[in-house]
Amino acid sequence: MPAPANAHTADGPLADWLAGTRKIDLWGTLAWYDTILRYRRSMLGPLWITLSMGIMLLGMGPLYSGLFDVPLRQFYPHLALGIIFWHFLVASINDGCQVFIAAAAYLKQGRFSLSVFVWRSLAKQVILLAHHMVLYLPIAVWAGVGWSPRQLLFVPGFVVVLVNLHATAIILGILTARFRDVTQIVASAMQFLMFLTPVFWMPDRLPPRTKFILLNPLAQMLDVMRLPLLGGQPAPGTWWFLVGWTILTVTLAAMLFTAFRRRVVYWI
Amino acid sequence: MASIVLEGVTVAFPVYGANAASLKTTLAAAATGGRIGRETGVTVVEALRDVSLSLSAGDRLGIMGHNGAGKSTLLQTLAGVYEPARGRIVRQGTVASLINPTLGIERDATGYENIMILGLVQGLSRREIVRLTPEIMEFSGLGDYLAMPVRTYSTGMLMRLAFSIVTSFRADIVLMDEWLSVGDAEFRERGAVRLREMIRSTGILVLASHSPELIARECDSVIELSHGAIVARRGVPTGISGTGITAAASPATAELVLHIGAPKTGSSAVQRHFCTHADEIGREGVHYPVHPLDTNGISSGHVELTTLLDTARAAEAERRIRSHLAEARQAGRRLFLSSESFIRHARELSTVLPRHLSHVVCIVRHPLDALVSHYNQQVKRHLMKNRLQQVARAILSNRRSNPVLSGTALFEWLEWCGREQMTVVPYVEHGRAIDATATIRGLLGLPPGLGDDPPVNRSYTPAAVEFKRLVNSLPPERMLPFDEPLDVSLQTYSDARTLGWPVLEEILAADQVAALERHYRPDVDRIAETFGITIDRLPPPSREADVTDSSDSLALVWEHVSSDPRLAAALEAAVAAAHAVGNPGESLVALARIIGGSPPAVG
Repeated sequence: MPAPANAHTADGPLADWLAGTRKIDLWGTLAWYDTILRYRRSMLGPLWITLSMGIMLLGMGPLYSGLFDVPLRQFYPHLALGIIFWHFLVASINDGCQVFIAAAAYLKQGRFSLSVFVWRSLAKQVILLAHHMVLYLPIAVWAGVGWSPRQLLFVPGFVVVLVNLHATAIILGILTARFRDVTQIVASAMQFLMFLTPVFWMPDRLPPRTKFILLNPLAQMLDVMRLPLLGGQPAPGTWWFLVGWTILTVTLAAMLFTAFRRRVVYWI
Repeated sequence: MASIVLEGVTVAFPVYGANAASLKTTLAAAATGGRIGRETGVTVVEALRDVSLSLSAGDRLGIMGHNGAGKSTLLQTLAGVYEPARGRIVRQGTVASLINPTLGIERDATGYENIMILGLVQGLSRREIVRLTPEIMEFSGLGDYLAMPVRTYSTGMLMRLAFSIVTSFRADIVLMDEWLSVGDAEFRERGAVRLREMIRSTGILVLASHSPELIARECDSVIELSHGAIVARRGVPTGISGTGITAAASPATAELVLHIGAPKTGSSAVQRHFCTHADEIGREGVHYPVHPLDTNGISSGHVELTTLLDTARAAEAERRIRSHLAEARQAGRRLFLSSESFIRHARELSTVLPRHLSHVVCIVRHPLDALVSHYNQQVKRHLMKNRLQQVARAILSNRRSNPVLSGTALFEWLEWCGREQMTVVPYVEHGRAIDATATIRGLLGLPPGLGDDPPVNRSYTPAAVEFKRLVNSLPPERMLPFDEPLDVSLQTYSDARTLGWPVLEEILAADQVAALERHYRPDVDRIAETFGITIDRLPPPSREADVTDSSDSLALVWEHVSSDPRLAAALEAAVAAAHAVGNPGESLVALARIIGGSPPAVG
């Protein structure tokens, strides 16, 4: 099993997490196969993911621009990135619930660091995201979204989101392993949150007294990825909010990981 | 160095019912002070209770027990799956888990992709897997199927693939749940060889099984589990300093020491000494299973083991070795087995001996000295009819090669147990033959013996050899009835004389000796270099010191033999009968001439 020479079962939590993180070979390969095996017997292969997302964008763009009465050229990039990133966030969080349960076959036969499976799930979602981003390129060109150095702000934003999603997957993965109904709770919550998050609508259309709903972490994460790519700049408040939120999730994840990382295998 | 230590390990599983596992019940319990959520009082099953173990390199542990006794949980705990609720585990070394080799297989992935996945899961790097892949492909024998999704495989093919992958690399610790055997007869056979190779090169083996035979064959100690606790330990060495390979690196600590000869290096003396002093040696911590000795104190030691192997009764040979080992362990002793027949049975013995416990000891003689001695022995005990000149000619024409004589039989042993677990001592040191008994005692770490053993199985005098050679040409059924009394008589005759030892140069022509010397040179050099020893010939006996009574002739031999009237009569009758049948041959005519009463000429 993946026990390096001199593996002691008394490894500290941080060393344990790092050991799993370093196994890029393992989680990278597993994530890659997760992606390609799903489409093994189809003709288009992984392009199906892109295709279905493309159809969704094609249909929703004109529909929502009509509904909200916004020019499509102005609205389309916002909507496309909203759907693509939202899909990424939701899929990561829902998949995060299952990370350890899905890895039962591995966890039951040897000593693995749990972080391996969290990275595997996240890597899989990033691969999917890369597929979807291809669709955004023609829309951006058509809508005339130009290049600006501000778009580089996407990088720190994306890193913050990844850290958050990783911590969230640890929290939800451990909770779901112990309490199976967490999956349903999370799935319902995500559906509800979709309406509170400016995926389809423009946040500036919100009446001022309801602006507080933008204080949900998913809306902030969406903002921090989407705004820079559209040439805008997330408000300092967004950054502060996310820093605070990250500290919260990482702390909670660290606590659960420290306390229960060796118990999870008993529950699955 | 691989090691596993378990100290008072308890593994307890919480069993959550459908209700108990839900968040709602726990929240309700917290909110209501635990009254409503009574069902959250989780049942805990102790799968392992207070298990302590200490395994180091070379150990082979068997785990037995009924279904649900905790065997698999113990294996998983050793693999690092379960963190114990109480107790401590310290493990060092890489682990190969053969607990359930098909776990982790992706059914939609191809065979090739699964090699990568399962390899990674076993802890290999991508590069290592790429390197191992051709070998895995070949061994699995799946050919073009490897490019197909595993979903299309039969169960047998799936097992083949998984087996080929998990046995393709080496690990310090191998954990196995039952002996892996998959596929058809042909694959199963190849698989067994491969698995054995893997196990052989591993530091620690832990094997859970329901089969006592399997465990007896593969393991040297056994624990029995019942309801998660160890209820019995067997064969765990006690009172022995160090176990396993570290101990087997020296004959003074190895649990099993095998004295493999070579023939004519004093083995009979060693065997008689250990047989007659078995009790006293036992008290010193070495168990020597006694065996019969003949009237002259000669035996071939534990030759029964090789006889069993020669007659395809390996299971019985294995059972006897096990029972000798068990007896020794019970008494807290190490086991010593000796037979000069072992040296040419490396291949057969290796299938029944616990390699990781064994240390092999051999005394080697220069082939030219061994040749004379060997010839003497062949005539004496194995009915050799040819003259030494004929034997030498056969060797030089490469018609006969004897790995025991040349010493090359040692390399088969070397291949089996490795240089570390083998001690080879030259027969001649400082121009003198060593005292084999004292040497072996010394190697075993026993205090020096009393040195009061009378000589045993010494060579016949040249005249006695020639006499016996002539007798050997009698038809076996006629001579066998008096072969042993004749041997006793010839031995007494020879023992009464101190002619020193036979010298090749006095029997063969100088050019023949030189040719033999050249013939054996490469083998001698190779052995000397491999074992870091010098192999000298014994110098010829010095007349003054070593030769006191040199009277030796066929007439004197016959005079001594015929002092036993019954033996003389039997011999005369046999010779006469052989002559009566027909063409007696040169040897029998010569024999008849010596024993007198010239035979009737045959027409």
